[in-house]
Amino acid sequence: MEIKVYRNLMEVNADWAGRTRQLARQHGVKMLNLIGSPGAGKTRLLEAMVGALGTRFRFTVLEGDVETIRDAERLHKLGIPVSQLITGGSCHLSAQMVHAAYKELPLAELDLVIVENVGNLMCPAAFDIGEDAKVAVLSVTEGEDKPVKYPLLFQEAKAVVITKTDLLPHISFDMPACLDCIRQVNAKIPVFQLSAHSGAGMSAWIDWVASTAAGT
Amino acid sequence: MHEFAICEQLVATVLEELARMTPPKRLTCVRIAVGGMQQVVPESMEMAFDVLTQDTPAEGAKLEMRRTPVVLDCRKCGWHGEAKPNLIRCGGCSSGDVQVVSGKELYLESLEVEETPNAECRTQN
Repeated sequence: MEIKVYRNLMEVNADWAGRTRQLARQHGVKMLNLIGSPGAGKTRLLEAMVGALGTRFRFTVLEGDVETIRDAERLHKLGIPVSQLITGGSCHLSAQMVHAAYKELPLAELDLVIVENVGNLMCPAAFDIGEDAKVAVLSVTEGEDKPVKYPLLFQEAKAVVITKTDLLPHISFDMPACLDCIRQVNAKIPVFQLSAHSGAGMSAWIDWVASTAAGT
Repeated sequence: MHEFAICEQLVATVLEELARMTPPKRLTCVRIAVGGMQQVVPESMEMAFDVLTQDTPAEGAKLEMRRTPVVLDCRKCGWHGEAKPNLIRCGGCSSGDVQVVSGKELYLESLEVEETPNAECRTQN
């Protein structure tokens, strides 16, 4: 006998994400969820954002990693308040894990929470953690076709950051082909090409982050 | 390997539904719908399902995954239809100004159950 039961398999995750959003609304805090491969330059991007954002917004970082507190230590050295979430093997941050850390933050003193998700282009895309925007971080050393190979992330994201553009003269990365791949899965998404190393392209990205933090 | 996390929720949901059934039933098959944009590997799901249902009333049940199509609504020309693989563009006017109306979902659709011959004994436990 077949019994029809329509139930969302992400409902528990969605419930935790909802609790985080409720807290965020109460305190007027926005959240970005940075998602990209291991080595895409997510932590380096955050390091480069410190100076520019620090003066405009009060922000903190929730650092997601499978193991170690190395990334948190890197950011801590720069004076950014940072909390480390160690998933202990899990390939993504769940909404429940993020909520546990989020509710301990001094929310009344913050404008923006930036979550650096576990390095992975696939799994974190499927999990809502209560963010205002997912941001796909892709480096020029990874190959142009990643957006069509991992379409869910590029479809869910509200912005794409292409990092390490200072390496372009040395490698055969085809930027127009990459932009075309992004447009195939998300025609209207803003794309920021930048180098956290040289600073090129950072200001446009910072402006986007600032407008997201301001809720505009 | 986010299949394991999805499967944890699936098994919890299935066990909740089974617990509601009076008299108790034996579960033989679980059917889920997985949107075409969700990158879920069937073999990983099956493995996780088998591991997570061990020593539960759902043990031994089969897991069936149905892929649901990626369906788009075009905001420009009003076209409604299935997307081509890896292309989120209108099938009518090629505009990228489209809304994904389905293709990201993950839900339990149905349970296949049998009457248990010793239902009375189990209810008394």
